[in-house]
Amino acid sequence: MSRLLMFLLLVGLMATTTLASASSGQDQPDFQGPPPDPASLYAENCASCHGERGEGRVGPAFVLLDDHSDDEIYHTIAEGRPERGMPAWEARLTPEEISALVGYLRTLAAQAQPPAEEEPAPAHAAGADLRLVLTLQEDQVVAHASLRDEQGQPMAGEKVAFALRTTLGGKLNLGTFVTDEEGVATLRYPAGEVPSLTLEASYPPEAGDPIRAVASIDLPAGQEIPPVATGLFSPNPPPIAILLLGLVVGGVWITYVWVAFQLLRILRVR
Amino acid sequence: METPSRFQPQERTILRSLLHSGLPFYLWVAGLGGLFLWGIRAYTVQLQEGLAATGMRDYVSWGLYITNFVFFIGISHVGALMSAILRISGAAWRKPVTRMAEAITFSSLFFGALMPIVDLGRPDRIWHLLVYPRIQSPIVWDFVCIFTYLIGSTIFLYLPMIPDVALLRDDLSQAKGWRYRLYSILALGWRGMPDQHRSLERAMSVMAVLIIPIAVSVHTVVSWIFGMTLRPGWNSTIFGPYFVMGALVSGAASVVVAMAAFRRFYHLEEYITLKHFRNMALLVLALDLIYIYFNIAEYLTVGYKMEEAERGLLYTLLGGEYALAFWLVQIGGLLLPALLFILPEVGAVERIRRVPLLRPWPLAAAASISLAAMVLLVTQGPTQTGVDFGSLGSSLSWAVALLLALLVISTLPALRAHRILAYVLGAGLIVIQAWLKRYLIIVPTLLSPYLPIQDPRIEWTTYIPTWVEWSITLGAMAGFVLLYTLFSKLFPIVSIWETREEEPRPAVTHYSREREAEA
Repeated sequence: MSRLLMFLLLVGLMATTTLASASSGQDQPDFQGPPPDPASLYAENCASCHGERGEGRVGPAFVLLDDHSDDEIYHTIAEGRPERGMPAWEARLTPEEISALVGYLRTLAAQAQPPAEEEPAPAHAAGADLRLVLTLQEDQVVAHASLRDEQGQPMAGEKVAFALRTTLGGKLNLGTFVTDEEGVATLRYPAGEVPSLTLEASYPPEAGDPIRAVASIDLPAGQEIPPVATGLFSPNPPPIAILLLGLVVGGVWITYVWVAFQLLRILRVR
Repeated sequence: METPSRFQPQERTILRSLLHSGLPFYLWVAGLGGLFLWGIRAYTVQLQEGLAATGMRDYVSWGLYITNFVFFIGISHVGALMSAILRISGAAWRKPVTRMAEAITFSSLFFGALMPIVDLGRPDRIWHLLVYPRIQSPIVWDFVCIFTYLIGSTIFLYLPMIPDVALLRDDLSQAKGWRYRLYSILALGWRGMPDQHRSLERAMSVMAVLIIPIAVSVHTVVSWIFGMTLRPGWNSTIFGPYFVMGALVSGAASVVVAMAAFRRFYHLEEYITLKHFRNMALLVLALDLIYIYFNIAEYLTVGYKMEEAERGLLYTLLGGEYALAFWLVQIGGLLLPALLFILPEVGAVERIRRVPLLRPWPLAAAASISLAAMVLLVTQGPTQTGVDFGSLGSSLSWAVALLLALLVISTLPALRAHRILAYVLGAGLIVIQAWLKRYLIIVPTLLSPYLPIQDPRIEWTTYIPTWVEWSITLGAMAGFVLLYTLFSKLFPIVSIWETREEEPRPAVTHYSREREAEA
């Protein structure tokens, strides 16, 4: 009984925090509301580039955050780094929210594994085993590359490069991803409307001759294109337009045939 | 019958250009072939890596390839103009130059039609255009028009060639080589019989009338690919005639360049005289002036209203990132050629020689030095620093423009003495202008969309063509010239029977009667 009560209490608590964070997300930046919740702010605005735990994706990981003062970090968020693709946030976040984010980034950086002193040398890769599994989740292809060392132990914190095999032996680099505690690096790729996808994982990314794993997945036929609004865009061309075009182009081609006939007459003169 | 007597001595020079090739010719072909193969090599890279190998991204999705496409299709219009219009209007002077024009049409259309395929990320799906065409799409209209024009202009090139090919066949009947076999097939048993003449004349006159609307439709539809979209700078009703006129002027100018090249290297001085150059120059000048008028009409109506989205585009073109190229096109590529065509005709330019300040060479040196200085300043990146370079740069470019104007004035007496040089110079500038103008129509517009570009990666908001694109462009240009050169080695570049017709028309019938008597 007490367990059930405890559970209900927990659920209620979670619901209120979720609601609170949801409402703070919808608020205007200048609204004097409850104190900003940096975690949800981070998840909404930063995680898509810097990773859910600050491990870095398009944007860098927060491993070197200790080298910078709070002020510097604040200004980086507020003004962005346009030359490296990071937008300025001061128009969209209040100063309080940015300050809260600075503190949150510090906690993220503290939680993150400090960069391993003994970086795995390429020789490390010799006995490693890389496997790639592709699954389809809704409209995304999820690629799990699991990396194990020669003892079969998962290798965490390693970088695995993903690439898309394109036509005629080409390759499109999709970026490098870091393996988690279970030694699995995960990539999500939109399935699109292609009949199949072939992805390749390689480790270590910098090596000249990395170990590779290749996997393919057949995709269901692409979704049907939704009908376009009517108006100028009619699904079927007006018959009169086809008729006119056919008459004009057909007339030209009939003339060509007539010219060919004249050539035949030249040939037949004896 | 003695072979030489079939041809008049001046016609022998055409034959010599066909059958004898020196070392320079082989070097020329090898150079062009090398460039063409390099372009193919670059295309294989693009096939492997996809369009990521190019500088095109989300915003600028059309770059050099579509520039080349519009350029080549534009050049190709000259066949219809020169041959068809001048043939119908009975201008006799056109006869030695029509085939040059028609061959330009054929070769440039061939490479023009390839360019959109190069621009495709998945060229293996080009057949979808045939299998699932949507008649509502301007691309389908374009495909239909260009294919029809390619076939039509090939027929139009071939028809007047039949009697010439027959002449060559008869000339080579002793030595039965591959040329003899080729000419025999293509001559269609032509023996100059009256019936054959009648059929040929009939076919030619019908094709001459037919090819004009097809050519106009082709470039109109190319312009509609732009005009049917909602983009600043393309959303214009005069785009059809504007493009057609730009096409005609660039094509006619390219014929002037080809005329000069063939005259010099194939020794066709007897066929292509100053008279031909002057007539062509008049034609180019007229088209150039009309095109200038279209430019003024296009930019003035847009610039007077200054709608929100068009404003950004106009500022980029007239005073921003693309200002140098824009003014080079307008002044160096349209106005200057017109002056080069007109001013040497004025007798008063002789007096320029007497002005000591206008002796050409010191001025040339000064102009080139300051030009170099300006290029240096531009490449040193005033756009990045953005401090006070604007006024300095603009005053410097004014100074350079003034020096260049003085240079042009000072060379006028020399150009009066060498008219052909002046015409070729002007025509060459127009051809370069034509390519640059296409680039300026395409890229700046794509960089100024109606919805402002917000927060993308910095490299997505600029367009810098990669080496792959430049190599393919270079390869396509080389391939075009190569195809044209090889054509001129396979078939007489000057129509023999038509130029013969010019003096005594019975020459052909006499010849054919002779053949009949023989048979």
